[in-house]
Amino acid sequence: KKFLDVNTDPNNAVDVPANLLLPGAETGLTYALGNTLAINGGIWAQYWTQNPTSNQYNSLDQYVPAQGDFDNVWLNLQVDALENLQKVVEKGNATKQKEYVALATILKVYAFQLTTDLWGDVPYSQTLQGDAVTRILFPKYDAQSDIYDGLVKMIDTARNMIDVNDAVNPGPDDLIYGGKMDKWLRFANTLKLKIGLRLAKKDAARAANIVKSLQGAEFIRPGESAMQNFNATGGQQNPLYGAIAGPVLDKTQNLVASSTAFNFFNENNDPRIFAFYGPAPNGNFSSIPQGSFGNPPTTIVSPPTAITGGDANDPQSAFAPVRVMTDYEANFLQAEATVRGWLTGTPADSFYNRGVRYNFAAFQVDGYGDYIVQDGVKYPSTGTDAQKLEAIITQKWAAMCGTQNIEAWTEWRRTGFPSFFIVSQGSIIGANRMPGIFLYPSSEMTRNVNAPKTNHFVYDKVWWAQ
Amino acid sequence: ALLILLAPVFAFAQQKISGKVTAQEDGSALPGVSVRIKDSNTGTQTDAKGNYSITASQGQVLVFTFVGYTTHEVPVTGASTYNVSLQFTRTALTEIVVTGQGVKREKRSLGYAVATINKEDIGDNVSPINALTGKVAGLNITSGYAPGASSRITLRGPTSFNGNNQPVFVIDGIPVSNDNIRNSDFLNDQVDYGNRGNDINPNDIESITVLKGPAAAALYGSIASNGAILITTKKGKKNSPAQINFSTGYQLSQVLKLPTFQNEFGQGDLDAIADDRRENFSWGLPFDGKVRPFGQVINGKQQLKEYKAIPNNVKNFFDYGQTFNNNLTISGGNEKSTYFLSVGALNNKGIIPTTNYNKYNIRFSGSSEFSDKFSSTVSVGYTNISSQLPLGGQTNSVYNSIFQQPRDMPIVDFKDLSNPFNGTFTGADGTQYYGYYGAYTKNPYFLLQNYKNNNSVDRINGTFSLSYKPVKGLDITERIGADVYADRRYEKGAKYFYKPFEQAFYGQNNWTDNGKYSQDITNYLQFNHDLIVTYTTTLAKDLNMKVLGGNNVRITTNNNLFSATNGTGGLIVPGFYNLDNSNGPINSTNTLTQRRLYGFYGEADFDYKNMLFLGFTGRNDISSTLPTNNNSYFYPSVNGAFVFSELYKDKAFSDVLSFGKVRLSYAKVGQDANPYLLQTTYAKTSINGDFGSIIFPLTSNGSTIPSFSRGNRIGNPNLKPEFTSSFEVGTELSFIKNMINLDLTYYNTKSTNQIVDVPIPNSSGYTSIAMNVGEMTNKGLEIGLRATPVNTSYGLRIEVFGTYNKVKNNVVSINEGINQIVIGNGTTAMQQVAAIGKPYGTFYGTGLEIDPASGKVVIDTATGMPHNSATRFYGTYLPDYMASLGANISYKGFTLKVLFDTKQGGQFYSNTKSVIDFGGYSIETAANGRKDYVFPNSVYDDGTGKLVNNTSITFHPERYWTRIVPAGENLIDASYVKLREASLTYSFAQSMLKRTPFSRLNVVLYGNNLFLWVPKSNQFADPEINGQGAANVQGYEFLSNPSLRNMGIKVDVSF
Repeated sequence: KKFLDVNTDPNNAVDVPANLLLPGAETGLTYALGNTLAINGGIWAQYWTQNPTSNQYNSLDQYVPAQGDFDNVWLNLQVDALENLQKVVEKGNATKQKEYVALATILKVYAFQLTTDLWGDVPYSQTLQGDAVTRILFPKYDAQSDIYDGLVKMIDTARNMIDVNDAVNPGPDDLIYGGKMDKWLRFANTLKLKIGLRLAKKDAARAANIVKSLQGAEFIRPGESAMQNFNATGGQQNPLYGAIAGPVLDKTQNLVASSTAFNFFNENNDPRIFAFYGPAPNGNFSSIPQGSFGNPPTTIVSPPTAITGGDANDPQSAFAPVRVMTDYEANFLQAEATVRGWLTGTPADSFYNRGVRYNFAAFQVDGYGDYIVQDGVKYPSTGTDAQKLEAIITQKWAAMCGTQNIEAWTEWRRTGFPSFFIVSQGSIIGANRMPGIFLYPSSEMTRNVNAPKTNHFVYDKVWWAQ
Repeated sequence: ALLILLAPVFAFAQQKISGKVTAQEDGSALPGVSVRIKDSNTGTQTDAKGNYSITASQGQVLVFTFVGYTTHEVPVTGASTYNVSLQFTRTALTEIVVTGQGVKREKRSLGYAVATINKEDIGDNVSPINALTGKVAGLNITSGYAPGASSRITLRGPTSFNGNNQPVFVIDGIPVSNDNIRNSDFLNDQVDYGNRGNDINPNDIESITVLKGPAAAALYGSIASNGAILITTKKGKKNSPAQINFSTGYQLSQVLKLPTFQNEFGQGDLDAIADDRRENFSWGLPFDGKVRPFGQVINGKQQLKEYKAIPNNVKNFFDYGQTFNNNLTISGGNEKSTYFLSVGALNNKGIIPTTNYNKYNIRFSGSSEFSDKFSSTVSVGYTNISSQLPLGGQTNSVYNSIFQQPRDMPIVDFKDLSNPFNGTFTGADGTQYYGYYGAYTKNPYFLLQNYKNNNSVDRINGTFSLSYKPVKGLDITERIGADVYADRRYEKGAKYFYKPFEQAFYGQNNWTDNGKYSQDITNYLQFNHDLIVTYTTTLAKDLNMKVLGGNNVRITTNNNLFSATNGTGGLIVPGFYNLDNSNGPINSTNTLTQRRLYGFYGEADFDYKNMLFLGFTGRNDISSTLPTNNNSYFYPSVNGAFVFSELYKDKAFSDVLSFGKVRLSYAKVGQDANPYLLQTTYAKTSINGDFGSIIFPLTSNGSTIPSFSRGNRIGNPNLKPEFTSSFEVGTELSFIKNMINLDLTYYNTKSTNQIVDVPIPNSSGYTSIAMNVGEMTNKGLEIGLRATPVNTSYGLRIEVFGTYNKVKNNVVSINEGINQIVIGNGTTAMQQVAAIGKPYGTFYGTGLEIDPASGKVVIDTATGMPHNSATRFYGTYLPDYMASLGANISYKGFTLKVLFDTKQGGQFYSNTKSVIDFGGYSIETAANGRKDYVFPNSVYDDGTGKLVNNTSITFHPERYWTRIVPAGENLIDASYVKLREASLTYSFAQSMLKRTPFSRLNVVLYGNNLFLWVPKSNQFADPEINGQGAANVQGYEFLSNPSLRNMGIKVDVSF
């Protein structure tokens, strides 16, 4: 009996408490946001395009990613983030640490929304139960509309659970807010606002209902953006830079300025251009049209700056934080809700101006005052609601340049703003088609019997965008 | 009336006759040969030196017989000396084979197929595994034939989805490791550290027996569910004075197959800058032979060269590989004991400059009989390997670099790195520059200088046995053995940062690497004990029985410590390779794996009239890796043989069908799990993307934050043992006095309840679960043929042999909800899978969109370019069939051997194709003079949704080859025919050696992996090379080490 008793794994731990699981779970989420989603979003939100002197992301500008290209980001979200958040919830419940439960639930909502926004119908109601007593190995796919119902319920549960005076709460193991539950409450409110507005086009009544419930609630305060910091130590770097600086890509500058965004900043005398785009090695600032990597390079193109984590040749890129939700984003969301008449109290232009101003502040850019008064920039107070929405979303897109790429692309898919996106010159999927959805990853297509039999086309649209 | 028969009286004088009996194949003395006078009772035996003396009369005939050799008759004519050399033979009548647990059996008595390769047939291969290629029906071996390179060996098809599919290696009765441990990242840092099965010195091998399936291997249990390779080492002979053998060999190697390159277009990019001197692209202008400057302008100077193709620029990069192989053996024995000592040295310089491989082997065996009842044997081998190995793959690999050079680049001229145009230098202002022409690839010689992979292995394995025979028929043997090795790997990558000198034009294309140093140290132990009791008795007249009972204990411990400098931070001080020099936290993992097992086994064999044979085996294992309530499992086998030629052995017909046997067997082998599959655990957090990773602990706001994450695999406390069962029927036939021997086998193997780490959808929260799932079958036909059509009295002998082997593998089921399992590591664009209804190893990825109606490629009406398809299935890497054909021709002292083998069918993924198409180096990229043309066999949508034949819409080749071509287009037909071996041996006759100190002298010219014939579509690589060594994933040629053609000479002497 003793002789055979050697099958306890000496290489892994049998059990660990919730506070040891939280940092990794949060980082799973920020890694997804800062790595694959920063790249896909950066290219498809037309901030960045493939550098003609290299080839790594040709397929994104060509609009032909392979389903296998989505495996790692799916894994980051489902396993690294969601499963470990689920374990925090379970252990928090078992040990009566309810702030852990609340916090993890909020981040689950964020991650689930991200998943459904990118892939459309995804596993939701049966997910994360691989090791449950009645285990579910092949979660079914839920309709996006149903998932949104679930998310609203879940975020309300979490909001109601938070007790800002609870003595037992996360500390430094919460890499985003250091365990400050009041901040998490405001984050949760803002997240619910974002969830509601996402449905504005598809189902205005539902959207209004969700948003109106937030009347009087507090949203992310100035300077309180939810983000995770990284540092210069290898293995602890900004996820985008960590990939670029790693031994495989060897600091190749694949991502460079797309004219779509670059020209917008340029034409509006927007000083943020220098925050988001760096000089090329020859000192020039320049961009190339989206997807024009196949054309003869005529000049060296500007890279993104270190603030985005995307400058291969600036080690400061390692420090770029990954932004989960920002104070300026919260204001643009409130601006939209106000224009739609679902939130009342403060006029929309205040939120709009604050959104731009906080963005300038976040990146320490001077010149907000000169910038905001320009025609074409200032809030169209006398315009139609449609014009107001266009201004809000366009400015939100400008504010998210290089740092909240995937959210900017998602908002473009919802609203069609900015209106000046072009079809990538590198596209090989036919005229007038643009990416509208992620392909299901290879792992789901080959392993999950409940996955759709055929994958999306990249130009399909998710339910709320239809 | 009775006729009185008169006896004639001949008055021949009796005379004393003597002589020496030697083996024809190598001239060695044969002791113990029976020398008889025909039709008389007089006879003797040769002594230890092969000498005999006998008294005979003229006209009498001497008959020399010896087991395993053809009988030879010599008429006595008056001379006093008759030296005889006997021809080695294979005859089904007498062949003795080693079976499970080292039990020697007559082959005729076995109800299943086995094959034995004797030392004569091992040839001059430095790999004992490769030496089996083409010689055993049912064996599938894949190797690159470089010294130390991995060899994958499978028998009768794969049985496990993602477990081990290779047979167990057994040396002198003790299982030994054939591990092939690789980096998981075969895309980037691919180093072939070989597999442990190749450690043994082929010169020490007496014979190799291949037990092909579960039936043959039932007694070894779990580890032999994929068959067994039983290696018997050489031993000393009793009553033999010291025999000294020395052999020395020298071998040259070169790359067997390089891609076919175009020689029309040189450096540049017609779609951008036509004569771009930074380019690795060969998409430039047609060659014109004019002198042009090239590369960077350094301090106002630039190099000049003619703009013309250098057809052999890649070939010239490679050196001739050189291998010295020296072996010394001393052996002998007295009446009670024997000894054998061998020392071998293999010293190789690789085809790639700076690489080498050195192996030293020492082996000692001895035996002693203490008394009539006690005896013991010992056999111990030591192996030392030290090597310097090249990097393959896609980042800092030499192959990646040399294959990405424009067709006009004189690669060998870049060797001198002190030349600023080739290497690096410090500028006037102290800046570090490179002066090499290419902005997008590095100088291969620079890579060789800056990336080193060292391996050193120390290994001892040995066995000790003690036998006791208390009474007649009873034998009690205790055998213990161990296999212990330390495998140490040191990988170094330089830290450097060089800017191009001509920054204005070369831009941001720096040469930069943060450097790395890693140690990967494995300490392995396998301990094995067997106590075996056998009893042989006669139950009744003509009915014999042999029973065997045994107990086995096996302990395996593997302790790995991997430590590397920080993955992204790299080194601090350049050139200092030590973990202390890590720029950031060291990445370190230690993994201890332990498994233990004990088992009881038994065998009973019955033999009726040496004609009818019946055998039973059973084994019960108890394993540490299974749940306590399920860890004991029993599995039986039964086999029978009927030598029907016994029925008519005295009839004339026996001259036609001289031996005939049918055999039948059924066997089942159980297998336990890998260790630690029963629990779900937590591990230190590390999060990985396509590139890069986050590794905890993380420093945040000044404090260090540790983190753990839920393990990705769901443990399963309900695992059960898995089983492979096999049914086999076969026949062995010999025709015309054994001139033609035929061995035919059909088998059907079924693996069920496999313990698989089943990949599951990540939406479950996990990536896999350990489960008993699935069913996979292999149905196969094996034919072995051996014939001796010419065997003349004047010494000419021609023997031909061949094998044919067809296996049909099918994945019958996996688990409810799972249609396919990814095997090992592929790429995101092309994976290898086990998918229901398809054979194992099917490729799965994206290709060109095909119109199902016409089978033609669908193109885009605007661009003329093909569309990419959705992910789909392609073929498997498994061949449709394999075959071999060989001949041994001997005449007097000469022996000529040739062996061809082939695999037909199957596909492989060639990354070389991808790279050389992309860069415009391959011949297919030069089609139509690179002018736009109609994509062959294409259709397009005429606007109404109807697909019509395309005869007019053209596409732009450079754009296709550099931007569009999907992974599926890199799959190519893996069929080949090879001249696997050829050798010519000359054995000097005894008479010529009289005045020399030698009793034997042979000279051998040999070659292996000599010629390759492939289909026209394969202009890229030898289908046998594989980026993942001997792993389950095969057929991924990912800029891996090329296979080699080896040619050598060997001199072999005995004193």
